[in-house]
Amino acid sequence: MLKARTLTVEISRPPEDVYNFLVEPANLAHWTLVQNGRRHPVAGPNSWAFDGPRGTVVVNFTAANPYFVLDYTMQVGSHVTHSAHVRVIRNGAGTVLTHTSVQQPLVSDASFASEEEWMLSDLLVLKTLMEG
Amino acid sequence: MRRAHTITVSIAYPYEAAYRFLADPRNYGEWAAVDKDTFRQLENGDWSAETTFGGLRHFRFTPTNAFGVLDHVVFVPGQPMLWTPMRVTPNQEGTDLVFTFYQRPGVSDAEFASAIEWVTTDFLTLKTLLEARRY
Repeated sequence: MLKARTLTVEISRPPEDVYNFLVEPANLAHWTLVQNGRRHPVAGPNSWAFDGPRGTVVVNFTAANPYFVLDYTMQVGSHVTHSAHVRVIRNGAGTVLTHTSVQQPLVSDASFASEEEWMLSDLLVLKTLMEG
Repeated sequence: MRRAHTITVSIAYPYEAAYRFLADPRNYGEWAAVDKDTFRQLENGDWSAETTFGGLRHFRFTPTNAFGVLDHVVFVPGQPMLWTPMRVTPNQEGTDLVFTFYQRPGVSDAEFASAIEWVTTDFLTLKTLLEARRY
């Protein structure tokens, strides 16, 4: 089994608002370093290409669903660099977002730890954006 | 908002079999903090049991779904229902289980920390149970 690590962020905004924002792939450019989102049907019906700091990345998203599940994989070429299971969960009038990353086979422990630091910082940007 | 604590447990047991086991309420008494002999289904579809932490509770489970979502609620009839988020996801030949636990109103930080330890014990019981099973 691959190592899994969960980050949890609490957001003072109803889960419907958070989910409806995140389920739209183009919105990824509002809170991460990727830009210029466009559909990428060759990779899949819910796949989008973005321009990232290190070139083009393709993100494969879970289709909208009533469970507020937002799993995704990121790939560069045919190589999956990141895979995560995400849920938007109700917490009273607010939201808990859980983000479980699975360390991919060719990713070193040091890289994985670093990616998780970046991911937490992105999620805090998302929190600020949603609460603003 | 309530304080939330999330537990992640890696289980060396295949995802499909783990989900099938956990999605069947009849198996709940095998690993959760309830008296297995009192665990039974009610006419309205909910379940009922004596808990090991004190008193009778009712239980409601999420219907089978394609996302591994296993949210459920443990409640006293007539009182507010606080759903507990739980999900399993595939990880190569194994399964990851993610469980989020809320600090309920009136529960002190010390009680919450203690409750987290109890819940973690339940999940380690579940991990041991599944890893010893054939599939």
